[in-house]
Amino acid sequence: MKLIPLCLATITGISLIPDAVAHPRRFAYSYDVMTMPKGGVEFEQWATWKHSDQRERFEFRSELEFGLTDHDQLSIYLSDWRHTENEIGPDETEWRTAGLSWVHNFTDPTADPLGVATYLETLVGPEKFALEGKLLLQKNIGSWSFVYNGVLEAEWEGDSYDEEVGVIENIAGISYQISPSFSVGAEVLHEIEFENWSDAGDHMIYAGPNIAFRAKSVSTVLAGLWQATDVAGELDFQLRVIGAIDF
Amino acid sequence: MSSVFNSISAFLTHRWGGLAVGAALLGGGCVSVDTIAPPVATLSGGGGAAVVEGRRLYLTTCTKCHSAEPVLDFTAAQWATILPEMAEESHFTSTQTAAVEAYIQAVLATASTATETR
Repeated sequence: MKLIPLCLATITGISLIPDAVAHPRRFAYSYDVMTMPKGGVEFEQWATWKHSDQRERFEFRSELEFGLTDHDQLSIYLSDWRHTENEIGPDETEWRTAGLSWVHNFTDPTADPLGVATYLETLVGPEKFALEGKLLLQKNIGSWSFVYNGVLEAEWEGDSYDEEVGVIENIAGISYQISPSFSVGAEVLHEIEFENWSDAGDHMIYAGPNIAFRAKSVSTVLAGLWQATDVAGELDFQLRVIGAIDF
Repeated sequence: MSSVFNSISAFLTHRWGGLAVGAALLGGGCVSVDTIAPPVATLSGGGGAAVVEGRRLYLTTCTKCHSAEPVLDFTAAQWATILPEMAEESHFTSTQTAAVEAYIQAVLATASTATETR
């Protein structure tokens, strides 16, 4: 729990930078369809707190996003690392992965009947290799924004990448813009894991509110998700904050 | 889970939480695309390629940062202040800025003509 004040201080610091986002997020767990404008560059710092009976885990991601064209966005995940405070056993701090993602948007969520984009990601680290694909759907109606992400992920974990896991996720979000600087909404995350691509785990559902703030080139989004299912040994609660600065 | 529902219930019954949700529901915020940015074909005098491009940019680029605001929610004087700021944030080229400006002026002119006709 020692890390909570540090995380909050970092996030608050990012939020207080006066002028620094061309594509502010309105969702913390869902991806929207829109990409950065061509030539846009953005730095994002993620912090996620995951609480369960057995441990407190704090995950951090530093990301650079580039608008390659008005329809293509490249992201470099500079560093994913995490700190775990176990109920039983020693605490652990691990560097996990670095990686890349590419988003291509086909249609616009405001001008077209439905915004559609695809997202491809790869992460590589000493004990993890992952490939992920997402179908992103979005519709903006006035001040409302609705998103859906269908996610398929393949992970190989362990010293010799011999632990195979498949993950399917469905994530949906709704957001209402109260003012151009301030939005509120909610997100729902459904997840199921397939160990060795065969044994299906429990269906996990998390849901909770989100809140987003932007001022010129700086933005922050915060979301807290509670487990709506009742699966023992899994996360009870998770909180994610993403702070961004546009250059 | 009960604590979650208690939290939501507390938020909704709190004065500001209730107001926020009420404003969202009552305000609706559901405005059609044609109300936000009138189609070029409905503009008096029609529109050239710049006006067509201006409407496309207005609907697809501005919404990267915020919901699209109806063009007619602002006067020409207000747009003179808003547009340069938004163009900078959107990394617009001078050609793109000129296209959006041409579209906004065409919408404002059409509305002005319609008011005078009445």
